[in-house]
Amino acid sequence: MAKRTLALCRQAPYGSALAREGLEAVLAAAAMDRAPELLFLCDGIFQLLDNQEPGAIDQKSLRRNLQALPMFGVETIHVCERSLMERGVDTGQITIAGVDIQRVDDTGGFIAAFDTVLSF
Amino acid sequence: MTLHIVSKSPYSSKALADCLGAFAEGDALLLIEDGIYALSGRMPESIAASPVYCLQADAEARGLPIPEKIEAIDDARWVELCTQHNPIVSWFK
Repeated sequence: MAKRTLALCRQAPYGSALAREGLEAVLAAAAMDRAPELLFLCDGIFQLLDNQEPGAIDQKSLRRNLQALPMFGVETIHVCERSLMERGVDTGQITIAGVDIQRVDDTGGFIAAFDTVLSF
Repeated sequence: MTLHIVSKSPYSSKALADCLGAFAEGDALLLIEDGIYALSGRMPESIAASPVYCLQADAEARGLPIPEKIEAIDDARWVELCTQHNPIVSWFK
């Protein structure tokens, strides 16, 4: 059986390169037909907010990468319920066309079901 | 069971707190590099029953005493832990 891989996205989008690099790694793997599952948690959920317009800080919007996910066969992402609540974000603010957003209650149990975990 | 590896001080980074937020029963925690500074305060009660390890060389380098409940390990034991747990999650930021 193929190994199950999970990518953890924990960083906010523009303060460091890690958020973008994580998504790029996921898209690269997906292009090779090896798409990992995605779990957004901690500040990583800020990557998902609508209405990101980082032009004035000379950065490209990370939303474009997220919107590319379904084209690469990633049609479901997972979001940590507690991280959303801690940050006062509700799922209405984090829709991505063509992507089903699943809320995860038991983050530890969810992670434990994978063979390999990549941290971004 | 997951092996969580934390390498940042809990006083300057949320790595440990985030890790504990994703900690399941039966999981293990390994403190390395500046993650060792977690030994200087009280360990969170949520992991009182879980195995906690620290890299001895990193603890000695930083001059931190290793509490009794925490197993100090060397690199060979680290490798062994990696073979005994799946998956392995790094909390490095």
